[in-house]
Amino acid sequence: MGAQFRHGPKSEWREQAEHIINGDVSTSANDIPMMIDWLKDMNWPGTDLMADYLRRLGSQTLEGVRGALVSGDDVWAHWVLLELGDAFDRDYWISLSGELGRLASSSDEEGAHIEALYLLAKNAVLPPDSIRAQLATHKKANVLSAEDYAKVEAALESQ
Amino acid sequence: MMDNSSVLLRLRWLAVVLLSLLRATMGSSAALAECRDFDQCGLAAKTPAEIFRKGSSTDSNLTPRPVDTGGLSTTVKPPPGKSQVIYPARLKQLEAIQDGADHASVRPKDMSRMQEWIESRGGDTTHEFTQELREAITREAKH
Repeated sequence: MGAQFRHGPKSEWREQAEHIINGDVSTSANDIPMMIDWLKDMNWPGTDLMADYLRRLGSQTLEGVRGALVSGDDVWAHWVLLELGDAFDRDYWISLSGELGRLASSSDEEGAHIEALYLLAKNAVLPPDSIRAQLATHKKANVLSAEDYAKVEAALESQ
Repeated sequence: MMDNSSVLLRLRWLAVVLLSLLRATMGSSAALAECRDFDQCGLAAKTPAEIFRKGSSTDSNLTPRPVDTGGLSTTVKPPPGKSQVIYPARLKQLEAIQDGADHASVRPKDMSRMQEWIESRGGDTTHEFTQELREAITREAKH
């Protein structure tokens, strides 16, 4: 049986996610973008399971994640970076450095730009001075909380 | 004055009524436990005292997407990370209905306006339902 994603009432979505991650339904690489689509709203049933599964898929998720980062959907980009960011290695994020750089230099109320800057800092994709300069600009705009900015500072310090 | 048989008859009637009430209550509990599609199970519909919307309090996060035809998703237990704590008693045109073990949908009382709310997502102005939901937020939580 092929995978169907988030069909029917929401009360069935968690069970649908369980069937996918348990292998009860067949999935292929073509289905990964639909799995990443599930992360558009982390309040939807089954999203925690789907995020766990995507973390295990590693580099197979790269093009799907790229799609989320360039979608212009700040909520989605924020969730994808927050849920998957720490799961993947430096090479993964270097492959997405262009998308991360564009997000990090923009600003959004959800915090996708700060998650992008955090990953650029944590994985040493950009020089620390460049990260600090962008962080200073974001702090001046004061869209997010001090805690959000502190995450980037901590990543810089741990380099 | 009532004789003994009349008193006994009334007591028996009272016992039957009480037993019927007890069975009806137990039946509802069983239905609640078994009801999987809460949207189609009126018995299970209830308003939780407090709900949580994971994420920020921006328009984008407080407005439903096209797939949210049954309402905006929230949880009845605090989710990990940042969330907005919503007090459903403050809702006026909206209502929060628990429609899963840990899921509640925020939707207009007049469901014919659900699509209008969905279509406002990404627009230039804040929809009145989005604003009403924002005004029902009591605090931001981090778990």
